[in-house]
Amino acid sequence: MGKLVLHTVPAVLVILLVIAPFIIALIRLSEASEVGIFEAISNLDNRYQTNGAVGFTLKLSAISTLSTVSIGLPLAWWMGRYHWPAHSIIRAILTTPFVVPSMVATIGFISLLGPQSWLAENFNLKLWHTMTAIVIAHTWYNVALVVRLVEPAIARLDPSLEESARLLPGGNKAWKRALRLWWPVVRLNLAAAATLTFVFSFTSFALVRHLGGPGMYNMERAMAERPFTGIIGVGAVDSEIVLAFGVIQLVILTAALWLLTEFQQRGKTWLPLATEKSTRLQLPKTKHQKLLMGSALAAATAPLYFTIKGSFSVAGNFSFEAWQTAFSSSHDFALIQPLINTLRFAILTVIIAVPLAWLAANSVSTLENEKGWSARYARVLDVMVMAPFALSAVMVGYGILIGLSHLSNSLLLVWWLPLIAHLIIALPFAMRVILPAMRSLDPSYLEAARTLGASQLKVIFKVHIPLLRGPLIVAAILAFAVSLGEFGATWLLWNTPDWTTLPVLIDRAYSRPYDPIARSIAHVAASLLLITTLTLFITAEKFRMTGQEGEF
Amino acid sequence: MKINKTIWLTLTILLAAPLSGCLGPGGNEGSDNSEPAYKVTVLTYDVFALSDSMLSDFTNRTGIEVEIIKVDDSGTVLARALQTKDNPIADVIVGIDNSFLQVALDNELFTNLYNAKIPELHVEATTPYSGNFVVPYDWGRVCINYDTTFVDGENVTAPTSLWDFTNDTWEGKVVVQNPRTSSPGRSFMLATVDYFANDADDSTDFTDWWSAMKANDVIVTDGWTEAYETHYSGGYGQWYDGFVGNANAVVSYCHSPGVEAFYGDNWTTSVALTLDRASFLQVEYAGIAKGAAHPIDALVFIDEMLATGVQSTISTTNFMYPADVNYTLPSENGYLYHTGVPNQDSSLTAEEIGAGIDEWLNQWDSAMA
Repeated sequence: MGKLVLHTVPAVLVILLVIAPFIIALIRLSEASEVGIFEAISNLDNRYQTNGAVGFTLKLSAISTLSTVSIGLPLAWWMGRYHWPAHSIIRAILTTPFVVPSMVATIGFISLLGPQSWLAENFNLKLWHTMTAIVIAHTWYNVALVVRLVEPAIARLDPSLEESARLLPGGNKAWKRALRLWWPVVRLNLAAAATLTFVFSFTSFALVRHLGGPGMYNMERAMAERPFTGIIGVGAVDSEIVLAFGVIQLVILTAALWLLTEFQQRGKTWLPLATEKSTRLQLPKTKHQKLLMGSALAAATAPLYFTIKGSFSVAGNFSFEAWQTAFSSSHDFALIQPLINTLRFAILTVIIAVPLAWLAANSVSTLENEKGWSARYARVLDVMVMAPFALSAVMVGYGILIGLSHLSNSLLLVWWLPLIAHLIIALPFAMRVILPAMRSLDPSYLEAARTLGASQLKVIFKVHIPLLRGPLIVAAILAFAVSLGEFGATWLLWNTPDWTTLPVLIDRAYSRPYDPIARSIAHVAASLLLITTLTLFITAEKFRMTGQEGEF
Repeated sequence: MKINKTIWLTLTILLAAPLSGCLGPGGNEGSDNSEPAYKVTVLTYDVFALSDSMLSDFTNRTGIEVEIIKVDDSGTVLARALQTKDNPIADVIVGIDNSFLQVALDNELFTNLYNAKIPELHVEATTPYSGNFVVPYDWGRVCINYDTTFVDGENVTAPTSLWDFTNDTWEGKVVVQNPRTSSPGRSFMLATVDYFANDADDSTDFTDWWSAMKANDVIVTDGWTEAYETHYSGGYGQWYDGFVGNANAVVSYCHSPGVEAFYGDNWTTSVALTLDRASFLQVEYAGIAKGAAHPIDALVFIDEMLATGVQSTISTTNFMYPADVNYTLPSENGYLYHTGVPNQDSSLTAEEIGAGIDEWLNQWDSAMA
């Protein structure tokens, strides 16, 4: 009985929180749009903003993925093969961008590539409002992912394998070893990183909105500004568009995520591993390598540097005014309340999402090894928790705006409504960290504890939590960071000052006329987000379990 | 038994956490005992006239607490009001303009205002609609502004017809806003509907002009700020970071050059293009939501928006003409002097707009696709 409840609770919560709002929203969208889904999809090409948006989204994601892989793979190779001075610091710098909130990156790249930027004025680089600018930003974000996922695979391979390969006719040349030894080693991890890059580029919103300029719409941006979505009688066109994009997005992202789980399943290592340290070569690096690694480090930090620098400048002059105004209470863009809101959402996201992910991971890892319905149930629960990965943040926002709040108007004003979006978006991240750790837990510990007569509660507190301490902390930090940087859904829902988070405030500062200091305050907000995220990221690194480097 | 304890513990943690007082915002949950006796909830967008000082002054004088629900733009104000019309989230709805007014009236969003203290109004403010369900609080004309450093009278002369903007001279040099996401954009689109329906040529309508503009690389932004600050060469955006200045004509207000002069010591290179029927008289309204929880307090708030305090300052806080006939744009620093006034505005009534807007927006979408 107790077991039944234990395994039912996560499913019920996930259905209520994640699945139900989305299904109600889809029903509501079909009601409000006056045409069927196929007509809705074919109509996309006859309208401003939506015409070509699917093609542009695919093109942007594909080019971003190619660019990310071609820069990320060499970096991962150098990091995995060679020992660099301050190796872990270099790795931290290269992998930091992945956890930087999207609005911070946006601010960083506006300062880096904007019309009055240092690059534009000194090198006449006019990348502002071009697709190239977005591709650069996507690459900056996701190179971190490639390094994070691929480097460990390279670093952990037993060097004696390569020695043996040298002696064989099939491996006596470098290109033969690359093809026959290294490619199979990195292939699956690289494919996983490429798929994730594709997914993140596919649902990119803040960067496209601000770097893309007029007329440049990916699906996410084209469906975001549709205020009449879901309103019967008035919102037919808006609903039709969101429905069409929502379905296309669901299909493409589900396929991508299915690929990802395939890669990760097959990617479980079968090659003999060495410990990481022993395999890195202590060889002198060529000048080229040093130069390129130096440029990579500079590129990884430049947008962050310009973000902070911009907070000390008002209308082009050095000044502390933005920081002073931001922390005074009188200005419209005063930061204290939005900062509190942001932290409140982030803390609550951790408090709720991590236990829920733990419950769900516990059910999945326990039941998946049983037979028949239990295993199927585990699979379904796993998929349900991961479902938000196949929805963009804007779509999650619509799920809540027209799905959940359709149940009761008064929900539109409760201070915790955006929290639901944060939970939905953070849950799969927390789950992805906790579940593998849970799976790798030796069941004999739990059996021993039970044999010794420990209650379930005791097992949890004396065995589970101590053994999973690292992953739980990493999951908590990840959930916190995801909530901290969440933009698309919170922006879509935004109704009251209680919901103004720092990313939303940054966006508003850029649509506010007649106010130069608003933009400098946006830099202050971005700097605060950045500093918080970096602190968390450095903390998380300390708690990663060995062998978990290939995860998020 | 023991397992159940675990579950209860987990559930308690899960459920108690969001309710815990230390994390919730203090004092503004609806149902607690601290609910003020007099209260009004206002649904609006970034209307600058509703400044913090105006609101706290209002509360001090009347004892009525004001809660603001602020959304991104005027379209979203209407959307939220429609979405919640059976159980309104706000007592007062501020910021729906005449392009969307009829949709709001058709959906019976408002209650009659027969007790409001309405001053004598500018005739422009009552032209599109003069009924009792909403009251205008400000107005202005939307038209094209151009930069006289580009339109120098020698190489480029001032356009005498909207068709001039489809010439090579203006290729890629005109910036407009998407009428689905911007109220000036919507207003200007409506002006073009009227302009091309009443011009000498019966073989073309507004969609032909928009197609020609698209072919001439017109720049379309989501909102006014990006169009004016980032792209328009003749505005204050040139002093700001992020300025591109690749457009020499922009859809803005006929009084925008006046605002430029007001802040620029009576200096501006921007001029309003006041062709007949090529400007749209935009009026912004306030009204009380049907089924409002606090109708009396709401009425006091509406009165406040039409009282001297707000009306006398709206030209420099919200940068629009006041509705009250006793006030207008100030002549200080050339505000009034640089404001363009066309001989004839486009002449669509709120009713005509209500009947046509859905179709026109769809036609615009396909013309620009």
